[in-house]
Amino acid sequence: MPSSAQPGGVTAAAELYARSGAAAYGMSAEQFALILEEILRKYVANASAEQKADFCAALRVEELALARACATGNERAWEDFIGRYRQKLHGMALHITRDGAHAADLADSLFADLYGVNARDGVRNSKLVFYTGRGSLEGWLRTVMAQEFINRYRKQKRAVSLDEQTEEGVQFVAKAPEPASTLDQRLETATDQALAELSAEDRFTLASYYLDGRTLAEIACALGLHESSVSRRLDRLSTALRKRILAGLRDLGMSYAQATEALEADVRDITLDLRSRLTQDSGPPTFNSRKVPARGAGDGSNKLGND
Amino acid sequence: MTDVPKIVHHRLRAATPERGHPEADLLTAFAEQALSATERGNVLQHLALCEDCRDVVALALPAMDLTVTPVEAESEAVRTPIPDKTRSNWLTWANVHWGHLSWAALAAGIAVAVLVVRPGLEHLAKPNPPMVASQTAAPAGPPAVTAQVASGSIATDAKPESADLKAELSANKSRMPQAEGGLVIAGNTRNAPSTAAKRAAPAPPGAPAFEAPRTMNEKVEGSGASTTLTAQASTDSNLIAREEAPAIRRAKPALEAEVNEPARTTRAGSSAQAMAPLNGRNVNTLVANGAAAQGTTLKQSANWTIAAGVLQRSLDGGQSWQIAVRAEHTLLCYANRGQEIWAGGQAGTLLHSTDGGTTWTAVGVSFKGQPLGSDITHIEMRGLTGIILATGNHDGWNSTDGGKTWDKH
Repeated sequence: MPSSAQPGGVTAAAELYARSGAAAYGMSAEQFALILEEILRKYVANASAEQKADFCAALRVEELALARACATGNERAWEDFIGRYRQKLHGMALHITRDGAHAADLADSLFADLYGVNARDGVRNSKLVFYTGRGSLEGWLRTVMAQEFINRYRKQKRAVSLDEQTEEGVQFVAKAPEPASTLDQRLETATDQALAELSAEDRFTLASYYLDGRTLAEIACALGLHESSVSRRLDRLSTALRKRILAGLRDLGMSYAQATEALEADVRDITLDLRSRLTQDSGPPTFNSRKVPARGAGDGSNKLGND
Repeated sequence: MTDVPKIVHHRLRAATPERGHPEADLLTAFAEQALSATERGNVLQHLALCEDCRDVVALALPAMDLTVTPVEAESEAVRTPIPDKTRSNWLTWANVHWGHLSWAALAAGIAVAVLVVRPGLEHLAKPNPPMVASQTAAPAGPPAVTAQVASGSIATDAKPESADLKAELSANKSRMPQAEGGLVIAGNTRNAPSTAAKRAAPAPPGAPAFEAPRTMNEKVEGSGASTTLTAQASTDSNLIAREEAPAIRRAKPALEAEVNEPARTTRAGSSAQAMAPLNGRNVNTLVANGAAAQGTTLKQSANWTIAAGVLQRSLDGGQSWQIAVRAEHTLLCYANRGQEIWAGGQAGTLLHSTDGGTTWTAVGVSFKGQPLGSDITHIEMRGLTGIILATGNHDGWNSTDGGKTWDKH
């Protein structure tokens, strides 16, 4: 919002105030202007007046007014908020947790945080004061809920009891092995160099797809792209990365054959496979399906056959 | 999808962010494409290194119950199929290099476009002289369309069969509760839910509800119980040709002109906008670029994308992009087939173009008097007239008549 000291600033502020509908929640123009100034200081403190005006014009001022009015405990604002978002909060929670019980718990917990029930000395501590109108309020609620979910349930998941693991059929899961220490340092160096040359968006795409297992649709939605663009980008990146790492390995003194072998026959694949198999439950099967050699055949190690 | 070497997985996982996590505000704005380029770069820099924040962004995405596969332009029918993780191995033939099969794929694409996509071809099997006359729209410009709206309620004739392309809209109260009490054109009050009325109301000065590179004029005539919405092409030369033409040629103008749209463009160059609730929709028609002002319809196969909350179009294979349409609210998704494009966005924003983005119509979606007010996150076109919307609050909206009436589920 342009400063009211500048030409047009007062008009712009008045327009934003009118657009926000903050008056319906008993919020004065001065109070609303203070909120906007706080947001401007946070995000575009050093910007020009024109840039600030553009920034303010892009804010979701109506939802900002609603959120801030809720944070101050305005009853009408809360009625609006509950009418608009109470049901959605439960839907969001179910979408995030995929579990009815956890969803209800998560939604109720977030709602309590939004309402600010942890008020001390009569001061309401609502999470809604952190909403600044940069995205939709609904999107912000989803993000806050996702953060809460990750903070709470992922930690709990790490502490699942053995009984629960047994019920889920995942008892004796092997711990992820440590990377082999015998790895050629040059491979790491070349890979790091190749990754460093990529743009942040490319690295995000790679990490989302290969590490997090996100679908093309999810990545495309996050980046605002079409799925086919993400697909083509991943193909291009995987090919380019392989070439760049090979080139880096050759720069570090490997022959082409050595570089190819180092890249393809990654020693950690073998280590990981062996370790995981060794640490899995490896008790003998009830019925040995191994073919028993005929009497007298081989080295006579098969004791069953010697009886 | 080609896998990357294991070492890449390991090194990606080993990287950790140097700074603290971005706030929920920034992550939300990032997911909604509402950040400046600098901020977006910073957030991406963090996300590339931070698994937790990537998870937050992914979890906070709107529900994707309806898998959106926006239909690309006809020219993209030969595009390489997208390998999908969920596909079984027997479909991996799709990874064959299509360069060797380009001619075969091109032929297949043309065959699909001719046999499936183009609605006008269905008339080849059963010639219909009045329809033929109506569909021989002038390829050089938007056709003149006159839509007569009866008092009370309105039903749209999806395929105007009169030779002068008049769309007679007959009464059907059960399908259009908003129209009860008569039709009132821009500026007048009408019997509609308050939210819908607010969204459809003319924008205040300085804050246009609907921006476009160029505006248009729409001649609106209304009297008494009935109102006529008349649209005229900019020049007489652009009026519809009514000559008899071979069947295969008749199908083409049907696609370009989309004669089933009751309210269309008028004289280009002037700035007034007119809105009329039309069979459950609030119609707000604009001319979106200079091509329309010259009376030409875009025939190039365009590529589409949504960036920074606006729908952008490329006519040169993605080398350069222009803003096709910008709404008051951020646009989030689109779907297109041939010349028909739907774009959806926040606060129930739904735009429709039947002429390759030349003109746009704001469509008000409502069911039993309840307007769609939440964000439209996905659009899917089913068949010739089926539209499916998914919203941010997990609702699904369905129209089987090209957006005239809607069901919510």
